[in-house]
Amino acid sequence: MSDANATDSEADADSDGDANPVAGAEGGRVPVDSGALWPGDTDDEVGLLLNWFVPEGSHVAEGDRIAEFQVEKVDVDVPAPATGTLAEVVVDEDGEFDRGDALAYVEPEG
Amino acid sequence: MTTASPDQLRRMYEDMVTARLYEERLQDEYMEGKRPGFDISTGEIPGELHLAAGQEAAAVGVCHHLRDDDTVTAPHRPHHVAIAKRVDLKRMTAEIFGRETGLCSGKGGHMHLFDPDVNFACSGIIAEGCPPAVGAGLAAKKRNTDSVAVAYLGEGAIDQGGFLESLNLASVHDLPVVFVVEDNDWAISMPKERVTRPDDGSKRADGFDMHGVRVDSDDARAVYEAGGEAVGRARDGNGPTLLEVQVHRRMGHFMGDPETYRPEEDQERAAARDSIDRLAADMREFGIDDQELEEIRDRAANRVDEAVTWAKQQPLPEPEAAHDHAFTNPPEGVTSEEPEFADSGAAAGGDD
Amino acid sequence: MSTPEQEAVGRTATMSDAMVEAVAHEMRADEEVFYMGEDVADYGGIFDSTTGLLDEFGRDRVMDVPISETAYLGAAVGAAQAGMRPIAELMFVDFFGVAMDQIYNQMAKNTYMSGGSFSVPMVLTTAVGGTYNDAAQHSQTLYGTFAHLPGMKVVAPSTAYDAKGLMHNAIRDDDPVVYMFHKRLMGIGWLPAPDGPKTPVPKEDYTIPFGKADVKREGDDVTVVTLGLHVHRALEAAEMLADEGIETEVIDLRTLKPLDRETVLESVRKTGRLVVVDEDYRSYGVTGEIISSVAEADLDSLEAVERVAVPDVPIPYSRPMEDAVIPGTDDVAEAVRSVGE
Repeated sequence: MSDANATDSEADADSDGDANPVAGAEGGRVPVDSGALWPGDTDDEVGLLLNWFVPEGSHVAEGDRIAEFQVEKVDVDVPAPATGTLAEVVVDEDGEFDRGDALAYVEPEG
Repeated sequence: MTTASPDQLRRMYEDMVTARLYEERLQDEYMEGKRPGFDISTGEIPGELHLAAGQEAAAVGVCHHLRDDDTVTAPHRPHHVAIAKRVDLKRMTAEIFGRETGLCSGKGGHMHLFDPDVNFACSGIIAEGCPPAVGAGLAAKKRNTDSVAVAYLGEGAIDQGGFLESLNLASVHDLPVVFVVEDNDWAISMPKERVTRPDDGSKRADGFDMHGVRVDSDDARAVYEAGGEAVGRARDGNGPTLLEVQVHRRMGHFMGDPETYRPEEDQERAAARDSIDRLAADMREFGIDDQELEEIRDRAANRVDEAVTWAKQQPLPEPEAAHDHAFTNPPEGVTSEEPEFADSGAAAGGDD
Repeated sequence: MSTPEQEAVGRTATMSDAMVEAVAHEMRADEEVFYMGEDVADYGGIFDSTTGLLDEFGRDRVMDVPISETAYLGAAVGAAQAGMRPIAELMFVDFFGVAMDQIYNQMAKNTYMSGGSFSVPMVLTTAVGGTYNDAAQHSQTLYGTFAHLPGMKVVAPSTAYDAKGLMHNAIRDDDPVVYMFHKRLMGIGWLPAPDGPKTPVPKEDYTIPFGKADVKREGDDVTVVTLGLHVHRALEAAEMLADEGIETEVIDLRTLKPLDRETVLESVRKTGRLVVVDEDYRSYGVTGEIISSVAEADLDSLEAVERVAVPDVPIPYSRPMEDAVIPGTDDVAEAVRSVGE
């Protein structure tokens, strides 16, 4: 099923920046997991990041819409997975990513 | 009663398969250059694209009663009707690809196909092909010819003033016009029952004292019979008909329509009611075997492939060509000089 | 593009988000506000103009209507005269033809013809613009057509910040307002916007008054006056020209009626050179109006003038031809250079 690429991902996320499979907890940061948001009914395994609505470093509340991406012709809203700081944006606007890639990381509060 | 002969079934089947394969091919061609980001303005076929898969029976069932001198107007979803009306498929395809040698020199695009050789025209504005069809009927009546006009529209369009006014004008003058309503149940995202009364659109005819018929099944043979009666009535000078046909939308309203508003069961139901399969089953009963059906399908596939291949080899128009064709050029029957009269005072309408 | 105050709000929004936010706010505040149009309920507007409104307000207040523009736009006029505050959407401005009587003979004139005893507090929202090869019946802006006819206010935002403030103002206004949103600016997934329309947008409500143009970029050499999508093309051109040493002032009209002639005039008095850029037809339109306004008020301030607009032909389908008729960034830059010589 999904997460076929989760196995070959030892958290070496900075290698080239275009493949960032979600690989569990990374120092307490919570990944914004594209796989969890992937729309049903789509054959495509590649998405396109349309918009970020908050800049890196800003405070987000769990559930806030922070970005949107597109798969095939479906637009998908991306909610913040936790309350805290948007610590790192991994996929920039207009960037392509594979299903299951982390789009960003949130550093949870407290 | 015009019952379709086996040969007629073959012809309908071939055009229906051609239209279906055409839309499926365009669907693929349209997506070229639009991945992974679906940007409507990129790729070989840009702009909106409204495909008609599932509506083929309504096209062939009526248009196969028509001659080249009969007029057809089609709406924003015109390909299947154009194919059934024998619009030049290569040049139509070139138009959709925006090429110089397209039907409209690249000016019109897929919603605005015009082919004077077979009297085919479109309007991308809902129901607005109806009045020009009435005009074609009016011209036939005034000239005492027996050509007829057919206006195609969707079921969502029967709420539009341009349609209702056209019914009245056609009826009051007994014009040779057939209005064909393709009822695919959906006006983009709006189901028929949300926006239209009555459910049976052909009842609109009652209020204008004209014939109204609904073909309640997506069945090319049934449409052919009803279409024959309507076209025959018009051709014989006995006035207009409103014909509503149940069809099925197998694709989105336009390419890019995620159809999130549409229940999955409805999509599945539409997909299961395939007028092409239905016709094939009927043809087998007439002794037309699978091999022949396959030969027809191969022929249709080749025709589509040839048209698309040819179209993609055609040149794009020059940018400056945008300035041509705003008016008929060169104009006929007018002069560029004002005459000079001896008594200029009279010509100028001065005091007497 | 955005001021420090706007930046301070922290989050950005697309133009469609900003519009919808204003509409939702007004609907919460006033039961008399409702939205109707084709595909505005479940679909959320073909151009994302009503995303999410059905969920919050239900079908009574977010109404799908029959494809009967004459009937439902006219019904909006009647409901407005009865004291409600309808927002009615014309899916594409090009479709105005089938309902123009209700728009310009009823909506726009009833206040005047009644000697002011009736008002028509409605908003007519409509999608405008080309650049995606939708051909002659789905690509026009018709800015000039609507602004020409007296009795309706006409707005055309170019950024999310402006879109929200103008929408609040439009709904609260007691007169009919035609709110023209450019498809290419909305931030729709399948019709990507240029950089620029997505701006910081305050979460609270605020209004932007009509008749106030916005100087989107300051410059001393040439004044560019424009609106809608072409604000962004002009800003891009200005960026290029700055490298060549030409400082361009870019004025976003934001509202066509009332028209902020003062801001334009002030800028031309500074630069002496005026370029007007419009995605509407060249003749009898916005470009002519702006230039004649300046000429009338202060002819001596004008040293050079040029207009960049759609030549007087319908919008062609095929890409090379559409690109040729809709002014591009290079066309704007070329015009600025030519008046700067």
